[in-house]
Amino acid sequence: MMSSVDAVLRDLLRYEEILGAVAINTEGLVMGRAGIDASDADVAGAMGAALVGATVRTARRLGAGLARVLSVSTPDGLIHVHNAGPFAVIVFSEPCDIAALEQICNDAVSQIGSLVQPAA
Amino acid sequence: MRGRSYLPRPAQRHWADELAGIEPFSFEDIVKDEQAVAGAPSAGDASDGASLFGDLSLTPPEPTVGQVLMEEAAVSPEVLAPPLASGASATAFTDVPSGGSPWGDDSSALRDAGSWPEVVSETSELMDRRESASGLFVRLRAAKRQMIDAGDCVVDRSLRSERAGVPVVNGAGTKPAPIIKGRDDPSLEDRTVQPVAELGLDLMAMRLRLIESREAAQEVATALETAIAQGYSEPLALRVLGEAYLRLGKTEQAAAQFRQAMLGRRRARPAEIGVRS
Repeated sequence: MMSSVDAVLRDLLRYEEILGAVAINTEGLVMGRAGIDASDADVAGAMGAALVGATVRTARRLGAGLARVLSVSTPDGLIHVHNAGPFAVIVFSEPCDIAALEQICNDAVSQIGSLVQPAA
Repeated sequence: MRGRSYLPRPAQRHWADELAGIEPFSFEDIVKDEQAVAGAPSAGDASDGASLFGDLSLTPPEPTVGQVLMEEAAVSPEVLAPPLASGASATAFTDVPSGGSPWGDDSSALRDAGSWPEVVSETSELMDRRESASGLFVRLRAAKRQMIDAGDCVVDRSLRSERAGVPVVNGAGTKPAPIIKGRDDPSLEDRTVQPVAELGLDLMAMRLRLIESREAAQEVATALETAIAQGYSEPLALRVLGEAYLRLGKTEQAAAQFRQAMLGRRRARPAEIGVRS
């Protein structure tokens, strides 16, 4: 049983390809992190919140529905941003199968969601 | 297309009345500025500069109560004002001492010791400090390698289908080998993935033993629990452990293992389909 957001994110590091993970809220504040130092997590939080906001607004303006997942592929790796409404999970990974990574992130997001908004 | 009216609204007309005699922009000013920049001052420039700066005093004002006195020598007139045309500067800086700085000669040391941020109006130091440093993914790989070496992180899963569920253990079988490698890391070939047979886990033989004898259930369960505790999470192993638990009467634990095995297979299935296609 995971007891904290950090523990959920740390469990993601069991995957060979996943290098780090950050959970942020809608204001860009870091809720938890694993495999990434505090300063990088702060920057990722600030930039990630802006990224999620721009993506959500873009998709909404285009009439494409709610943006859930955003993947930024670079020559060095993959930045996978998973929007979960009140929070988002940013996963940094080696170049890999995005569908498999999304499935893994879904599990982590649901666990964090149960921690953030526990059932009454 | 309907035209737009730029007449002031009634509430704004008193501003228009106050500004009635002021011309906000004149093309003659542009011509004067261009001549000053080009270094060809006209006869009227010097007088303009004198009238413009003549009433300004270069002596600093007396500090008022509560005001911090700035280090005067740290600021030179070249920093404070852009270069003027020769005629205008000669007229304007008549009170400047011969040393070039109206506040003394010892300004260079203090100016060199200034610690103002390099970026003033664009972004913060937090955003710009890592611009010339190593990349984010390089730092992340190094951090994960350190975590694995320190035993804080166990890597026993992979997103790739052919490696899904195969544990990564070193020769002693107690601690996973550091497997996070950069693309140019020469030790990429050193990954030590031991096959199931070398771990001493013949899963099919275990299933046969469970069918043939009830006494083997505890032994099989213990062996599989040890392997899974070390990170071995192959779905078939979880299923065999569930069967062992069933033999031992631990139905709830058996159900949990069956559920984990099913989830593990479901996770690996999309990637397998991708490989075939």
